[in-house]
Amino acid sequence: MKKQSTVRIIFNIAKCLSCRSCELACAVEHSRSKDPLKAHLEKDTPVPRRNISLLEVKEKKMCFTLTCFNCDTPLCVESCITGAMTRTGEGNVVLNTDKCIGCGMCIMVCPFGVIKQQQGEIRYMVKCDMCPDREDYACIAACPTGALECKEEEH
Amino acid sequence: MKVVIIGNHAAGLTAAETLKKLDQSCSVLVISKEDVPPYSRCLVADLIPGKKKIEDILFKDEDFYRKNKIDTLFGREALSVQPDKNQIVLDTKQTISYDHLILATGATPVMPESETRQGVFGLRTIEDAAAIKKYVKDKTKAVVLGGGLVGIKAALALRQAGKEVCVLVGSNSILSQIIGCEEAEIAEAYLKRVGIDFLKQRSLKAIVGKDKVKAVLTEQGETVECGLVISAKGVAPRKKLAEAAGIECEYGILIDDRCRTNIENIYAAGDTAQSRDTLRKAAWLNSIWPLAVEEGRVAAENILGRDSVLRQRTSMNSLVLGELSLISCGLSGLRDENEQMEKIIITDSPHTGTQHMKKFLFKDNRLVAFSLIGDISHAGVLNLLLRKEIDISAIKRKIISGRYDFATVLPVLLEDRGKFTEPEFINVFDSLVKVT
Repeated sequence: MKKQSTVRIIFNIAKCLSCRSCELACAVEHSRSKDPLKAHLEKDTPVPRRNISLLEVKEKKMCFTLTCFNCDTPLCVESCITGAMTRTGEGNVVLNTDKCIGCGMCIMVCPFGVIKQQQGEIRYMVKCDMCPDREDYACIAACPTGALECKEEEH
Repeated sequence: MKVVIIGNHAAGLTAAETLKKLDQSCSVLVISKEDVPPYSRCLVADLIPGKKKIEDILFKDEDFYRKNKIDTLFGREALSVQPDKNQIVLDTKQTISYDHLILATGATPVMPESETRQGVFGLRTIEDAAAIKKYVKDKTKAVVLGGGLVGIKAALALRQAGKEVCVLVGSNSILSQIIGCEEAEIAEAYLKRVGIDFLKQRSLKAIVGKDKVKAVLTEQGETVECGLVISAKGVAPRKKLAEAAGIECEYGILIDDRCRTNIENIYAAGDTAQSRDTLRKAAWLNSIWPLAVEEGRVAAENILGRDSVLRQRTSMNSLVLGELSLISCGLSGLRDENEQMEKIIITDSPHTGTQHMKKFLFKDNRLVAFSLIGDISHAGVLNLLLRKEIDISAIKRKIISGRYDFATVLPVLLEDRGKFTEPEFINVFDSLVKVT
């Protein structure tokens, strides 16, 4: 029963290989077909809600994967002019894509750059939605090294 | 505890919601002149062409007040505040006492002086939009006074309603408060493509017509025939109530970082309030939605005794131009640019033929403004550098290459980690400390 408590996906940078499996799995999960062989052919290419990028700190190169942190006081929620972006009682930041008009205010304020634009005829924003269509999380399931794991947070 | 909130939009509504969320026992009364469900002001223009209906622009559910046990007095106007008695007087002569008062009275469109002809409108409320929609039905031509965000949105809405639209712009460049001339050129080209006309460097001499608007005369000598005029020459904070009560005002009601006015139990929030702009280092009127919401929240939190402070803040705006997104942030207006700033612009015209642009303004190794047209991804990362006034020398090359994300800026954030108290950032920093 994953919806009742606040679940956070934790990233362990030491274990990341930068294989991008999480990114791919996320895009596939949010495609219409949910099939990796068909997803990239869909009309509006599915956008991954999680991204891998290269990080260089003190001349040490590392990989870094990011998705929504569900901030305590989310700037994206405060900036949403339509009321599409809200924070639930459990502390998850959720986006109602039907209400979203794609104005981009949330993208302008998200300090982590984890809100993406879905291109297509109707444009709207997308973000990590904690995989509502499955019991587990696509990115965690796809990670071959255990760099991603989920943690339940106590209130 | 009883909190009275005057105003029922971004700031007032957020204040009411925050108070109830944090303290169920707090009695909250919202007073508003408008008797409407909670809607978003930013979307009212979409009502004109019928693109959206009232239920589509509701910011909260219609039963928001009932569900949150918020008392309301709608269709009523507060006529005076009596700080010595901790009470307000309504237009019905009724007095209402409070322990804490939040003034979220908003702003009103600036209208041409002593204009009584039919067909001259402001555009801010549902009522305005409905009146315009009705009036414009049998008209073919409209003039919009002002090339700012409201003016452009009004022009787009009228155009979508099938009207001929001419926008009178005071300066040489549209949207000059929020973007420079380079971005304006792209925006204007799009707007012209959809059929909107512009007359730039023009000012209004007079509106003519017997009882109804027939035409607009410019100081420069033109006569523009039209059946309808929308005045979008900016908004003025509604501060009369505060001024009369001895609350300190300048352009708006002056508030500190905790949204307090000079009177202990009176707070102000939203478009009526004038608060500190991080980049301008001055009390500034940034009449934008996100800051109004934040002020509402911060006022409420302080009333409940939590020491809550406004974040670093500056101007931010967005406009959707067909398939292009345009956003700008910081000192991005035409008049904000100066010689001490370094300006870098990158453009490309991808296969669609529409022009994309990224523009950055730097000063003293800080990013002070940016505008993005087209690809706006990771814009919040730039916003972070700007608001937190981070020294970007080490990553400037990457920024101006146009390829940046959170990982790009993380090294410079680490150098300045004292500026971050948010738990999300502390978690990220801590996880990195372990591996570096």
